[in-house]
Amino acid sequence: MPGKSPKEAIDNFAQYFKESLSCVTAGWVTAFQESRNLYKITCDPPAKLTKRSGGNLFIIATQVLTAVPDPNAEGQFKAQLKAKTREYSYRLVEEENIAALVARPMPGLIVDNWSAAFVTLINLALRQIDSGC
Amino acid sequence: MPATKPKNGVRWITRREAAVMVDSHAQRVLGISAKKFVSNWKAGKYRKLDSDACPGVTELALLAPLPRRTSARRMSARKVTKRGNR
Repeated sequence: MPGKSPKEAIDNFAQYFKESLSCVTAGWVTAFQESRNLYKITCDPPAKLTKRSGGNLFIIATQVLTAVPDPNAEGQFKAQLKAKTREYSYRLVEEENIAALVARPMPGLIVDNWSAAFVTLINLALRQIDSGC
Repeated sequence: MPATKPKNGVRWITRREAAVMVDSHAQRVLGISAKKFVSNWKAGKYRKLDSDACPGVTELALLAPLPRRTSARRMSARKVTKRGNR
């Protein structure tokens, strides 16, 4: 999901993030630019999920991103930028945490495993939605 | 950067709106302002805080404008450059 500018790269990423979340919730994603090349996306308010058996769950997903040149871009797309994850926190909450997946590595490092953690969270949410039926 | 309406499910907010959001998170999670949270963080008051015992503090730490140190690799590269300049 590269973009021509840092903001476009982050926006494309946020749309992809929202699309993944839309498997379980219709909530939107909030994004903002904190500094020159530091962007943050979060679910504000927390994304609400309704269990089939009644009751609600919430997903609180927050991600800190930066835009870097896309290493796979070639030719006319060589100047394109891609979002990279620096930190993330994903939580699935009922009354207490059902799952909390967090990565806060040494500042400046890139987190490569965010997508696996995010998919795990969505799968857990799907299981929780169906649980107790 | 003006706030924009949600486009394809993504709502861009301004830094000022982000500051209000972080402040309300800090009030909800710790009962203090975002400014106080940042100053406490800088003073190292949350080094032993258990995030399980205080749900929401991790998101707060991610969303708040906390100082982000330069990575060790960059720090060492900088040192080399400084030495090179001498």
